[in-house]
Amino acid sequence: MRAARTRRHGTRRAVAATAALALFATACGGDDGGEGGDGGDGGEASGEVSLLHGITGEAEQAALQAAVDAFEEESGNTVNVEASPDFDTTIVTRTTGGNAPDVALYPQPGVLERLASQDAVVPLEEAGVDMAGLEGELIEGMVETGTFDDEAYGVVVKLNLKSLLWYSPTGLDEVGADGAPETWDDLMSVSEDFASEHSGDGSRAPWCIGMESGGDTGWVATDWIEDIMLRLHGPDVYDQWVEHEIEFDSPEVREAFEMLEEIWFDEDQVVGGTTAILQTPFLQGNAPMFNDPPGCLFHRQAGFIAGEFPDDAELGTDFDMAYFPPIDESVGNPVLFAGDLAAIHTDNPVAAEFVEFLVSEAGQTAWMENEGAGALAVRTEFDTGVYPTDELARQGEILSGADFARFDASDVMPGEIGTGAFWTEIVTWLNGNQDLDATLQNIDAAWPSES
Amino acid sequence: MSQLVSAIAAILFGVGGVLLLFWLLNAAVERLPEQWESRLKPWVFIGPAVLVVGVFLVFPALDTIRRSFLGPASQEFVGLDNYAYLATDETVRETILNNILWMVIVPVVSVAIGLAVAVLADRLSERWEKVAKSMIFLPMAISFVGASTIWLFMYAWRTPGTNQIGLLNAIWTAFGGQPVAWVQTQAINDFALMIIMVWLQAGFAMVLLSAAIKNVPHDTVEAARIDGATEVQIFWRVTVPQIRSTIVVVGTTILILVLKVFDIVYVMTNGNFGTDVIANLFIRNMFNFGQFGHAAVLVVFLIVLTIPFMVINVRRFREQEAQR
Repeated sequence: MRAARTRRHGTRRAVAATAALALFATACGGDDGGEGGDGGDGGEASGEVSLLHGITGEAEQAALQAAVDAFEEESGNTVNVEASPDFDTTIVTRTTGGNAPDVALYPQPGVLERLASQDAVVPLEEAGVDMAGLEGELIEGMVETGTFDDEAYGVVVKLNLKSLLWYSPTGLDEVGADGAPETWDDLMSVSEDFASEHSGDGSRAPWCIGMESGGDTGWVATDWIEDIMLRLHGPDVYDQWVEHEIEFDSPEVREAFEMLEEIWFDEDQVVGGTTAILQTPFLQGNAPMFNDPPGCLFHRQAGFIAGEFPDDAELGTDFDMAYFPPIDESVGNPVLFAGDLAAIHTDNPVAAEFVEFLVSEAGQTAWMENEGAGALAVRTEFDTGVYPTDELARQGEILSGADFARFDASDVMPGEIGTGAFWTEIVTWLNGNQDLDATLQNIDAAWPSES
Repeated sequence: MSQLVSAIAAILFGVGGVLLLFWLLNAAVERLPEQWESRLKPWVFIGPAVLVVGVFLVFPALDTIRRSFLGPASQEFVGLDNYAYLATDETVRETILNNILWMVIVPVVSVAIGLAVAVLADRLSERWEKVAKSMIFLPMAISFVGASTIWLFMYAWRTPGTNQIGLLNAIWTAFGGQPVAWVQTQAINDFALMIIMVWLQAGFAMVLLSAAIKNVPHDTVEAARIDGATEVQIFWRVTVPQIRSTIVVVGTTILILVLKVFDIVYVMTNGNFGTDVIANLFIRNMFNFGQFGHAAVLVVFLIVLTIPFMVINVRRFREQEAQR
C-alpha cells in the first residue's frame, strides 16, 4: 500500500517537474533552472501544493473545492486546502514567519501589494505562469489589479459583481412601480414614496442594510461609496481617489458621502435605522425583504448574497435582481467588482500549474458551475450557460454590458485606509460620534505618508 | 493515523531528548575535577532554561525595541517618529484612556467580588461552599475568545419588533423597553466588555483569597469577637490586614492580564465605537495596516507599563514566601 502510494507520488513529481520545466522554458529565461528540477529530487512538497484562502461561506468553500478536485483529478497532484476566517492576519504571520503557503487567494490587492513590496511574493512569471497566454484570455483588469511596478504578482481567479440591486417585486407592486428602477432618480423617487407611506414604522422602510462583519465591519459602507463614486465621476476620478491624488475631503468624494448620508441616516429610509445598519450581520441584512409583507424594497449587495436568501425564495417572484442604476448618463454604466487574487509564495513548481488551472476554461467551469460559488468567471470567452442560476447568468450579461469595471477601492488602498480608517471612521460617523467633516478629515489624516 | 504516530514520536523524542541532554551534561561535568564540578553544575542545569528564555523572550523583546525606531516595514531608521505617534495620535490617546479604565475597574471589581464570595462562602456548609465556589470558578475554564462569543449573544441586538436573540435585550424588551445596542452605545460599551473579564477572573481571585482567609489564625478572630468587635469590624480590621499581600498579588496579577487584554475587544467590537485598547491597536497596526514601527512602539509602551507591576508582584510574592 505504502510502496504503491510512494510510486504514484514519484510519477506525479516527474509530471509536475516536466510541466514546470516546460513553462520555465517558454515563460522566462532569467531564472535559474534549478528550481524547476526541484520537483524531481524527492522533496516532500512536490506533487503537493498548499492553498490558503479566506473564503468562509460553506457553499462558497464547496465550490472552490470542486475546482480543486478537478485539478487533482486532471494533474494527479494533491492540494492541501486551508481556510482562514482571518486571512490578512494569517498570511502576514505565515509569510513573515517563513511558513508561507504555496498559493494564497488574496481578497485584497492592497495586502498583496504590501507583501510583494517586501519580497514575500514570487512574481507569477518567475514562478512559471504563462502570463502572455493569460492576458489574452482574461477580462481586462484581472491581471492589472495584481500588477505592481509593472510586475504581475497576482491574478483575479474569481469575480464578484458588486453593483447589484436586489429587490422585492411584491414590494414594488405595492408602490405601483413598474419593474426595477433604471436610473438613480427613479430609485430615489420609489424609495421616497415607500418611506413616506411607512414613515414612523420601524419594521418597514425602502432599504435593508446590514454591515456588521466582525473585525471587518465597515466594508458594506465603503462598497456603497465606491459604487456612487464610479457613477458620479467615472473611472479617472475614481483611480485618482484610490491613489489619494484627490482627498476624501474634496468636493467629489464629499458628494458621494452626502448621497449615502441621505439614505443611511434617514430612519424612514432604512429598516431599523443606523443601529440596525451597525448591528445587523451583513449576511442577514436581507432578511426583512422576505417578510410578508416585505419589510424593505431594496438591498444592495454583491452576487454572493443570493446564497444567503431563504431556500424556497425564487428569483422573479420572491426577489429579483437588477443593475445598480447609473447616476449620470454622461459617465456611462460602471461596475464595481471584487474577487480573489491568486499569488504564489514558494518555488514549488506545482503552484504555477495550479494557478493556471484555476483560471483555465476547465478550472473556471468546475468552479463557477456550482451554485455556491455565486461568482463570475474571469475569462472573456465564457459560456453564460455554465452558470447554475438565472441570476448569475444575468450578472454575466451585466458584466459584459458594462462600460468599465473597477476593483473595490478599499481593497486596493493601503491597509491603514482600506481596512482601517475608511471603515472605522464611517462606523464612528454612523454611530453619531462625529460629523461628516471630521469623518473625511480623519480618513485623510490616516493616509500613510509617502516614504 | 500517521499524524498521531508522529505526535507521539515528537513527545517521546522531545521529553526523552531533554532528559538525555541533562543526563549527558551531568555525566560530563561529573568527570571533571571536584572543584570545577561544583562550579559548573548549576550552569548545566540552569543553562538550557536561560537559553530558551533568551531566544524566545529576551531576543524578541530587544528586536521589538529595535523595530520601534524603524519605519513601517522595519527597513529604515526613522528616529523618534514612532514615539511621536505614540505621544500625539488621537486614536492612541483614546486607546490609552480605555486601557487605564480597564486597569482601574477590572482588578478592583474582580478582587471585590472574589473577596465577597470567599468570605460569604466560608460561612456556608461545606457542601454549599463547594457548589458556590464552583459556579464562580467555572468561567475560568473558558478561553477569552469563547467567553466573548458567549457574551456576543448576551448583548445581541435585533431590530425592534422582531425576536430578540440576545438574553439582555430579551429580558429588557419583555419589560417593555426598547432593545439597547449594548456594545455600540458609548456610555456603556466599555463596561459591557469589562464585565466579561470580571466574569472570567473573579473565580481566580476567589480561589486565592479563599485560601488566604482560611489561613487566617482562628485565635485572632476569636480574640476580636471576645473583645466585642462586630463581624464587619472583624473583616476590615482583622481579616483584611492579614491577607493584604494576597490581595495585592491577586490584584496585580489581574492588572497585568488586563494590560494585555486583546481577545475580548477583538471579538466584540474590534476597537470600534471607542472601545479600542493598546493590544488590539497594535495588532491592527501590524497585520492590517502593515505599520510595524507603530506596532512595535505600542508594544514597547505596554512592556514599560507592565514592568512596575511585575516588580511589585515579585516583591510581594517574596515577602509572602519569607513569612512561611
